[in-house]
Amino acid sequence: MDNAISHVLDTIDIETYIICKDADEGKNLAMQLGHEMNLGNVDVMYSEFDGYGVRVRIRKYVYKPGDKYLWMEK
Amino acid sequence: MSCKITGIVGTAKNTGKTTTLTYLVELAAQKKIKTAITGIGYDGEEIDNITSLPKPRLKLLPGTITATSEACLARMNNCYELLERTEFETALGQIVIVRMTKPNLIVIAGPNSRSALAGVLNRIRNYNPGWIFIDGSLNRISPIYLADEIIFTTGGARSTDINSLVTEMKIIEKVFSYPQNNLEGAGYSYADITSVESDFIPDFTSEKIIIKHPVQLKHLKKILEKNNEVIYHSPIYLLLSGDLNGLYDFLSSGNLKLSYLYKPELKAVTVNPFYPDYNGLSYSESFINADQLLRQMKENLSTPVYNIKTDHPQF
Amino acid sequence: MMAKKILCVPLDPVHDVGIKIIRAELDKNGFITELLSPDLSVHEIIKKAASRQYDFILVSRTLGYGVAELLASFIDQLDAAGIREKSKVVIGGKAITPQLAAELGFDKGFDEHSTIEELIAYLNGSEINFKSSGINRCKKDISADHAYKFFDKEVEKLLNQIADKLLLFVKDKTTPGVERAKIRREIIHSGSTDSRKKLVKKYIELCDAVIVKSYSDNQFPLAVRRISESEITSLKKFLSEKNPIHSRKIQHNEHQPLVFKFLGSGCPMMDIVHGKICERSGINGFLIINPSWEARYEGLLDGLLTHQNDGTITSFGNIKLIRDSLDKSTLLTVRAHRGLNTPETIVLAGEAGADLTKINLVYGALGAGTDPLRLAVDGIEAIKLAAEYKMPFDIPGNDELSGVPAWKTLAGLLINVMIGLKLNAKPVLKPLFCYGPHIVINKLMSENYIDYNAAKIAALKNIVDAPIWPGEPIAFMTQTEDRVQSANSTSYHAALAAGIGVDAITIASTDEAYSRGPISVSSRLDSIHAAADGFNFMGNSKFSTTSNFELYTEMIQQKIKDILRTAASKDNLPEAIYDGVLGSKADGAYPGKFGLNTVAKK
Repeated sequence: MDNAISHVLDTIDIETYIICKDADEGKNLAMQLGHEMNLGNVDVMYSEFDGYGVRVRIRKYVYKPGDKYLWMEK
Repeated sequence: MSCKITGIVGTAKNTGKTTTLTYLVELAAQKKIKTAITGIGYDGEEIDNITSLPKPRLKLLPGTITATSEACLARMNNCYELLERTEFETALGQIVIVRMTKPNLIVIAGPNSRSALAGVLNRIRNYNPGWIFIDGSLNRISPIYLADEIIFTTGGARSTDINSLVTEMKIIEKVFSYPQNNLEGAGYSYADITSVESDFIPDFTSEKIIIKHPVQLKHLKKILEKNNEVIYHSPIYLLLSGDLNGLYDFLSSGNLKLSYLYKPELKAVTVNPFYPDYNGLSYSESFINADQLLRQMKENLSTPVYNIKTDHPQF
Repeated sequence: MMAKKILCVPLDPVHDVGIKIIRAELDKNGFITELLSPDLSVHEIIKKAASRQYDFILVSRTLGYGVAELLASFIDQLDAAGIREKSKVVIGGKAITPQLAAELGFDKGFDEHSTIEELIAYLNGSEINFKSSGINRCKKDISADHAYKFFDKEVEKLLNQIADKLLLFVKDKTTPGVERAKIRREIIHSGSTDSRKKLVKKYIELCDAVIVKSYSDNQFPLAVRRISESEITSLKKFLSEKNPIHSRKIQHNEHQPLVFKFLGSGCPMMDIVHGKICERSGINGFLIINPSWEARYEGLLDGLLTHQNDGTITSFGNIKLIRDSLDKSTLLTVRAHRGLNTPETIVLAGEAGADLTKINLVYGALGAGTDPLRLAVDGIEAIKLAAEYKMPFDIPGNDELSGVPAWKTLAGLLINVMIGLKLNAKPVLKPLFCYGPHIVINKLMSENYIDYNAAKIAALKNIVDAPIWPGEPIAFMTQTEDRVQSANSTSYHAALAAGIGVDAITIASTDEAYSRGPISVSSRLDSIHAAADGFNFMGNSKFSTTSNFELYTEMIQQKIKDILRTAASKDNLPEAIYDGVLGSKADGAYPGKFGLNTVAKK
């Protein structure tokens, strides 16, 4: 089954801006976004709250060093 | 009017403090006991501040009194009546005492020092609760000696090795086994921190020494070796004196003339098989063997052991 | 009052730079500080904390795995040792929040964005609520520092000739655009519904059918719709509940240029939210981009309007909504440099409280499709109105993007400057920092991007003392769809602007090269941060140019004179434009056709 995600070399980064009421809510929404987008648990690499929302980058590690890389085995 | 103070102390984060506390709150409601709750630090938040996993939240019922920081009230949807503003402050604002008027999920950020907790407890007592709960936060136990009894929570989040969990609770049980000392009679001297901490221990020999703060075990050992009797502040402070392995060796080394100024009762231990599995980058939910955990604890401790989710202790 | 004693504790085994910096600042501010070394054990720290009466214990530590336990245990030890009765314990570091500080039991927590001023205020017991600090700046007038004196007397003489001829030429002429502007003004000031209705009837007689339909039948062109009352209520509620925190400045020092950004998503509400977020990040002002189709039609739509296309509709309601929602200190420019509605746009902008506008009689005709004669008449009226409303107007040199050489473009800019001065307006020069076709073909920036850009500015400064505001945006045609490359390019050009010394710049987003969808707020923030970093990097230093800089400067200045001589020899400016003096067909510039044959005698 050739799904696109298995072609990702290492990570998927999502950079976006989330409207929220404080830094905590922003971080939580960012992680929830990862789940809603079917990426599961994601890391919040960067999050800055400015009063309106957070500018945020979340990262899903698709392959980490030491994993079996499906893109190599195709 | 007499009122019981129960402290709930976690051996680590995510060992079931909030679940245990929620259970106790419901138990008190069933028994129609008026309750009050506060905490050392901050708890009841939706997502764990450290692991970012969802946490169980505290639900309080009408009539319950709570002491929390002002900033936490913003999330409480006008379901409370403000009783008083105290002069104690935390990083989240002034501590206020409120009475719930409607059931609601709550966030508690309570007093963070022993003197503030003592002050807040005095204020709370003015409202005549029957049972006061002090919710412990991550490794924050110093002020909890003010409780009458303590329930420890432990489990997979502390360690996934059941044997080490059991050993740890055995040591804690041992720490709590020494008696209270009411300081009758004369001949007691106080040792202050800097004198006890120096490498040259003052020449205490065959004396009754009161130590009101945690000191390193090596110093405590030296004092006790000289046939002194030590009245330590509390079992809580003894736990703060050193790592538990060191404590185990220390307490096994002989007949220690050790007693406490403050001696809360070790009421129970609750176990929680959950642990956050850390893969180096983020956390996910996992569990150790619940039955084995409960069984081994019960076999090795004389203190009652419960799994709150399956047992229904009446405390 | 006794100076407060602070114990500084780096709980990190290696890193103590942060707390060293803080300690140095606290010393300067009258506190008595002691700094422990970073490798002490908890017991040694407790002992030290107990040995003296410290008012505060400052702990610095970054959060990491296992660190929370360490910090909480430290607080326990401090409490049990009785130290908390004497000293307040404060934590600072990356990822610290008030919630975390409370969880760990500290009296106060400061994160990496907190300032030393906040810390000092707290230590002094005069804590200010920094949460709603707002924007806290004054509005700046770009034209204020310039006397508009001409240093090049020959250029001044030529410009005088060209401008005088033009003003005389248009004196007896009018257009539907000019007339509509008068009516629009009356509409805005009309008291009764009846008089308004009459005025609108008069207005639409001068409009194209597409525009008429919106007034008579409520039918709007091209997916345009009215914004509902409930949407406006939601927007106002949303804005009232939010406050910018930790507002930033882009400029590293007070001499660096103001920074402007475009807005014009098509929806004024989206524009406003983007605008508020950019404001907080330090943007000094915005230019509203309007839809390109507005230039083609006689007449403008009215009301609060939104649509999904590029450009926010020019209406009194939209401009006012945007103006009222932005901070008072933020500048707002409304574009009026092309099309058939130039004077009316100035009226709308002026009445709605905008601060600046944009007019260019040359580019609007050569590169933006408007008939040169029509734009000349409309443009003069527009400049008069801009002067009346006290709105400086910038003159964009976008003709370069068609292929017109810089000197022709700059000549056109200077013509507009002189016209503006004669009409008591405040013109602002807007040369491009771009990689335009003429530059590419003639390899004028093949060795570096600095000499030629700097030469344009130098040539202008040699000619006249007028405000200079490179745009539109800077780094035009140097950016790709690659975000990082795009941000970098903005950064370098911003640094260049800071190094050369100009009054303002306009920066694009990192979506600049992508034309198939609206611009995201993330991409705006990318370039804002890039510009701030560029300014920071440049600081108060300057770029050093090569010998080409002087050659280019002289060449540009000389050729400007040549162009102006030729332009002055023509009967009027429109003729000069038609004859290709300020940009020929060979250059890629074509006189526009919108509004052809619409100029009439008064």
